[in-house]
Amino acid sequence: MSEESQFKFSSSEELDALVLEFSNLKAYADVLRQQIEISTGAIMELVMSKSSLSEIKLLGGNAEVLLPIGAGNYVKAYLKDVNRIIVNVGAGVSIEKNIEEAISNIEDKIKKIQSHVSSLQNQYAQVVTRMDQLQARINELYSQIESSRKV
Amino acid sequence: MSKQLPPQLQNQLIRLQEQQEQYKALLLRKQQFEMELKEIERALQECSNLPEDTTIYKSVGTLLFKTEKNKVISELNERKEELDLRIKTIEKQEQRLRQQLEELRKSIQASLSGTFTGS
Repeated sequence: MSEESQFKFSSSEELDALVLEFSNLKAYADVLRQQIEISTGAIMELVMSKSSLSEIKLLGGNAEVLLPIGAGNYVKAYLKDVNRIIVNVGAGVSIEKNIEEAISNIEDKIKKIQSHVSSLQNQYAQVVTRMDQLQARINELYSQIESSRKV
Repeated sequence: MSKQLPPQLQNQLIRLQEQQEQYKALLLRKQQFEMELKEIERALQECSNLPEDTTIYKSVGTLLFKTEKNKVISELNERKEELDLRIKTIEKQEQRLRQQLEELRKSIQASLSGTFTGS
């Protein structure tokens, strides 16, 4: 095997390996981004739920509210019991908690998800940095192979 | 110039790809079961701390039905046992498939080095 063809072979082998690693990292980055979006959505939902509960607590049982029945339609309603809140604890099970406990439960959930999001964001940043490094090396190898072909 | 891979090697590569897909699907299923198991364990922990006469609701479709603590705990434990069993079965399948993949990969490597160095 000539020196030139040996060079081409090893460069293209490295290029193949880098392209494979890049594509794996891209898939991983997509999963991470998706998880960040889902978790951020969950935080927003919890924040909304917490503000509703805080407002309910503030107004006590006196508030007239509008009950959403879908497609932007509402019926007027009075809150029957504002002291016991039904809280989902997972696996299709919901339990009654008093309003303070329910709010603190939501706050705990928000904290846990925020810490999870921050860890996901760190991982995402690391993956993107590695992808940038790979991209630079891939471009370099590609130009080398192209120019050796022209020669 | 480019050399056609022998049919036997092509078949092995196809099998490797199929087994890798199977392996990924298996891992995904295991992950889903493990997540459900964690959720059940959390719910069980929450329920076990409640007084006996507490009101518990169970969601069925879009409705929440009032039920009893003992009933919910027993249902959750039943599902937990089922999931434990499924995860163990998947782990056995995973181990078997991993071995098969390793053997196939070695065999492909051997065939590839034979193809490119032998002629």
